[in-house]
Amino acid sequence: MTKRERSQSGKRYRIPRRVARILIALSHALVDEPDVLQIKNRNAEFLRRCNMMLAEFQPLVRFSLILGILFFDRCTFLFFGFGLHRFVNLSLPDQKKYIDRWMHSRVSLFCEIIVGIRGLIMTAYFAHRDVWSYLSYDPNKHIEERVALRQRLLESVSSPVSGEEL
Amino acid sequence: MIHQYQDIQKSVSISADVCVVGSGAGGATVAKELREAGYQVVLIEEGGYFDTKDYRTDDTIWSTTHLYRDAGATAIVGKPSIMYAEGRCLGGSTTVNGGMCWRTPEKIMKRWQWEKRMTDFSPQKMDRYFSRAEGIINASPIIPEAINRDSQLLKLGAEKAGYEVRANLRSAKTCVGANMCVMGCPTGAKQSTLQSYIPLYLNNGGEVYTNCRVQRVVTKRGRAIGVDGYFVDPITKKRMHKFKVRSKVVVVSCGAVQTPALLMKSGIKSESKLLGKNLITHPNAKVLAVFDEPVYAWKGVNQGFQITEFFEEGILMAVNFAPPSIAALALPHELPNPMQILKDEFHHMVMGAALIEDTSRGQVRVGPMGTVLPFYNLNSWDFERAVRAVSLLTEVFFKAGARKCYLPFTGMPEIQSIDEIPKIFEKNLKPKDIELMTVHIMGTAQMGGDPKRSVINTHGEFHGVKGLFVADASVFPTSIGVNPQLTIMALATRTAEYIANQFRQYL
Repeated sequence: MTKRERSQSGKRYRIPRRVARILIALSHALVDEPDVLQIKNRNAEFLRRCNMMLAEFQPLVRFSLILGILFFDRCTFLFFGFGLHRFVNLSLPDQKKYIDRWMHSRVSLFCEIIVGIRGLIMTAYFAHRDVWSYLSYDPNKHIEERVALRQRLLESVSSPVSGEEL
Repeated sequence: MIHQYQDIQKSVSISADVCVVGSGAGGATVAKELREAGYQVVLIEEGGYFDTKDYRTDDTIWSTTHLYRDAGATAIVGKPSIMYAEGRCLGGSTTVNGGMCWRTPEKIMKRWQWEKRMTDFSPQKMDRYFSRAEGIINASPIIPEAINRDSQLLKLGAEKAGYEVRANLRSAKTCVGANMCVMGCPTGAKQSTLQSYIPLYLNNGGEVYTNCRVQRVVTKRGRAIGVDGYFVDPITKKRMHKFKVRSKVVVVSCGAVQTPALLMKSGIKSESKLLGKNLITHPNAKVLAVFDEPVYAWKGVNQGFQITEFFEEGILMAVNFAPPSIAALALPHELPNPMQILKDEFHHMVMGAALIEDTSRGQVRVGPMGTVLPFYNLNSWDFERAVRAVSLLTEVFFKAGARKCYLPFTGMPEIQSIDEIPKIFEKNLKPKDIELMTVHIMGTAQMGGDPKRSVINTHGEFHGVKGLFVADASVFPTSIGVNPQLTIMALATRTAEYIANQFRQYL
């Protein structure tokens, strides 16, 4: 087996299971997913996207973010009203309140951590095709039309395409 | 020939005249020009090779993870922390930029001449370099019919407010407005270096190695003699076969964050101690305007116009389309239920950006485990202009008929009418309250005639290290206030000409 074959058969980066659980809980609390939206393999797809992104980060940055997520989950006791429950075990309204406390915390590190985590979650969640369909965003048809149009323009410079087509 | 990761079965050791690290606006330009001049050139790229047919416009995560460094989510640490994105693929950031083409403004060139002893940087003397680059990337006006509604609304609002607007020049051939520039142009119209300089370089027999990370620039007795690195498995990110180039000249073109980091990791020091300092971000603040009419911002050419009325103040305004994953990120985090907002308003949204020609300065440091960390704090002068720029942009959108605007300020997420604009100034906002992002990082290996006040000389060569050149936005001594692609290409063309003419001294 060559070095390359050994490497390709090797493991890709995977989010630790306990962190995955926190990310999923956070995605529910941050997004307010409507009941009518049925996302195929919602959590698996969401985590796959988070995985893909985290795999690209510099190792130290990734480690810091994971640490921040764990810290966020465990430190509910720092704020009044959440007892000693972990974030993942709070009710959805309490989870939202807890996130809000972090967002508006006077400690800038807390704000930085939650903004970073929110960025990861929003990017991963809103990249799902089912979410795009729910938002009626379908760029593919438009792009196919434009690719074909450009092809026609390049092929027949002598018969220009009308402005209406564009 | 392009050597991709899968072609490499063992360690690679090469001798060449010139080794170019990075294939973006600077690197590809130098490589093509020197190859054309008859030199043996090796072009190295850390990212992978993806062409028009490979781009997945329906999968933003694929695009960000394959075409961008750190999945497009790198942060500059400071007050406020700023998100920045840069390309990491063959073609570098030109593969994922909007393709804007503006020459360095005269006021900037004058500053460089006076303050940095860059006496040759007059518009007249630089004209032939700009013209050459413009010809190769086809810098041209946009087909008017392909301009989308969001750009038209920006123009309409600016005209109603009495502000000067200019149509953008872009590096494109028959662009019909797929508006996926930032995900890799799916029509092949955008003339990134992957579509322009690199094919010309390859046609002349140039060699490209992708998925190859350079670890260090090798120097010996004050001379650059090559680079050492390794191939990276694009899936597992594991370090694979070694890579070694020995050359007479090394050109580093990795962008304004990675270039100083690579040089610092290589143990190269600047006499001025300015290597990695002078980080300029040219930050932009986003305003999301919501209109009653459907806008469908993804249908049409990216950034049709720019508002230049406040250019002398260092403010430039434009619109840009963002897919849902980026739009969700741009929504103020204080607003509840982003899903419902996007459901109701996504097709009615125009994303505006106000760019600030910043005077704040940060620095790039190399942390533990080789982590590259940029730091930058926005000073109060730049912050005041950012707030002013946001207010001007909201004014433009309200003049064009917007019914509300989402603002990039913590504690002030939206305003409903033009009459509420003064509230922005009453709010007592601080730099940490603004959300900024950037794609135009510059300045960390600044050019200049005085070795005590600059990192590289006016030809692009490192002060004190013979044969080591820098050709990217890190050479800019100050912010240029406009999109940097064309300036990088013009300066790189000039550097390549110098290397070709003076090559004998490097033998």
